[in-house]
Amino acid sequence: MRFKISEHFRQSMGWFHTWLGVAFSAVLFAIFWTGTLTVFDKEIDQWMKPELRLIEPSGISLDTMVLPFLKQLDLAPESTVWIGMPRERIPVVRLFYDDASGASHEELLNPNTGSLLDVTDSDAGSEFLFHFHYMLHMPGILGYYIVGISALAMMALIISGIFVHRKVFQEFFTFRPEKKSRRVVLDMHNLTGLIALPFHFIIPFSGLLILISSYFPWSMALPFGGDLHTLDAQLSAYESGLIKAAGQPAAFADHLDEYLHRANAQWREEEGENTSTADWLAIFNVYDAKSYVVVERFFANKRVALGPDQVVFDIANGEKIDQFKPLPIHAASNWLEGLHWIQFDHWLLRWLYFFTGLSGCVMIGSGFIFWLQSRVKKLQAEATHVRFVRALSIAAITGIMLATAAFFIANRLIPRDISLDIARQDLEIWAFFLTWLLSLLHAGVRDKAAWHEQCFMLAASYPLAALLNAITTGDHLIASIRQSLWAVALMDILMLLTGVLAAIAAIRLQLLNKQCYKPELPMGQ
Amino acid sequence: MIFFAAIFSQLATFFLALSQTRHWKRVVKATLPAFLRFKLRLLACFLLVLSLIFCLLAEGASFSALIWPLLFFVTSLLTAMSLAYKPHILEPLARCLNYFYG
Repeated sequence: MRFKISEHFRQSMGWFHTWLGVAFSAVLFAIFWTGTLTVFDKEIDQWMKPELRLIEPSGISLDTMVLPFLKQLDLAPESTVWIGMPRERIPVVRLFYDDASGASHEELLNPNTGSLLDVTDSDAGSEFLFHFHYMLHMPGILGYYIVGISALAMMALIISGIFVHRKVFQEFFTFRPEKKSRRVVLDMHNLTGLIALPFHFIIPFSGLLILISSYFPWSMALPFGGDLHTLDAQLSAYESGLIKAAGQPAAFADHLDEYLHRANAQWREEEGENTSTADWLAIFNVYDAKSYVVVERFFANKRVALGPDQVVFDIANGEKIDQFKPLPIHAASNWLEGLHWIQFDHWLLRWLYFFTGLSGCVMIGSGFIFWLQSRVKKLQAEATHVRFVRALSIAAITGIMLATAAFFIANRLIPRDISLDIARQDLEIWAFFLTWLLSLLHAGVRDKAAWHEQCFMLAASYPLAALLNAITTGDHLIASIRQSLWAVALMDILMLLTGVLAAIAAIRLQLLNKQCYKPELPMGQ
Repeated sequence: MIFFAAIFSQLATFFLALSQTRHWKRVVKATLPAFLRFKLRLLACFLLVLSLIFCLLAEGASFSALIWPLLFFVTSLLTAMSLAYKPHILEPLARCLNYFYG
């Protein structure tokens, strides 16, 4: 029996798809845009914090480079120190610790000299853009829930979109640039939606899975009598260490390199010579007789799954006391989490993610624009609600791109040692949100013309950011390539390319605007 | 290995596109014979499986589960854009297929 979709059902799905899309497209575009940028979060960090522009060392000795620094810190006996190993994308040693007064610190060390790096205060990619992606930089839990509901909406939009589309297979590769603009936009929406459909579905799904405990903490609290405070206390106790301090003073750990070497050798023995090495080394109860070391890595070779492998050593006698591997039951959820976090070392996959993420932005944006063009066809182009959605869509699409450019430009213009009541990194974030707000106001005032005007602004602002990078750091594109600073070169190339594409879009939109919207004549003429 | 996986994926999407009447007509300016449609789709499926095998050999199952569909996305996009802007670049391929399988 052949399954046939009734016209009534298709129309219902069409209505659902249209209005859910209009309601959520602005937020979804912001989430997808920042998510796509976050694919290169560490590269953005290197661009916005020039002190991180280092080449990954071929090998590093924690005993000679890091240990002397750790021993001079004022640490409580039961403190924990986390040491992040330098990587290609993060070519510095990262230190996290709480001092004797309980204050938390994060320090970065030059892996070649062991000296402390005085890094530009910026939330850059791995903090601001990354946090915005899943919580929209909102206080409390509100942003989490908005993103969660938007992810659910995205999945509903994908499913309803399949039913709305009349010829899923017949029009699989169809894009007709020679047709009228409304048709071109719909073709683009269908094409980007269909060919990357599994990606567009699994990304919001895995995002929901990652944050499920934030959305529904009560389910996790059930084993603790439903009390969230007890759950928090238990989790904190787990994170602070499995072996309690003995209360007897002891010397700080020596021979950290040996623990690293033994853990790496263990993984090589189990998985072969080419397996990945440790990402982190943590020392628990640093000045206590029950001090121990945990060597940890997150991505074994040939694995997407984000699951820590840990080897635990007792510092008192140097013996291995535990080895942890994720249980098979975790494999599926770890794989889904890993595919969303994108922290694995795989450049081809990273670029594929970037392009597919951009296609998601195109899909959302073209859906928005198709709705607006349909109102023009229905002679509702000047209706108040259409003007409102148009302003919203301009701010959502070109506005957030302009805001991102302002974020980069502010980073290069604000002096490193500026002393104001407001923190330097907050100034960059203010530049982002103020520009976004201004783009909305501009769209409200200039209406249709704002499309190409904001594209012209994009065409100017992204190359300006690249130019400012060259002026303030001296690392212009050719210099970056010569010094093998690929992250900086990549950022500059993408910014220049964005500028060129935005200029082409601006010119085309200006022409299209003149063709589509003829000047309105006063009544009676 | 991954280069060959991409090439096979690209060829598969070309064949899938050419197996559709509209695209065949746009490229060859003639009607697509019914028997060729089936052969093209069969060939495309074979190439997609071959692409998956090369992905698996090069990157293992964990990465291949992501790389293979994303390669399919990129190559499909390239195919759609080729058909939209430069359909004549597919003409030699279509004529070869017509000659050998037609």
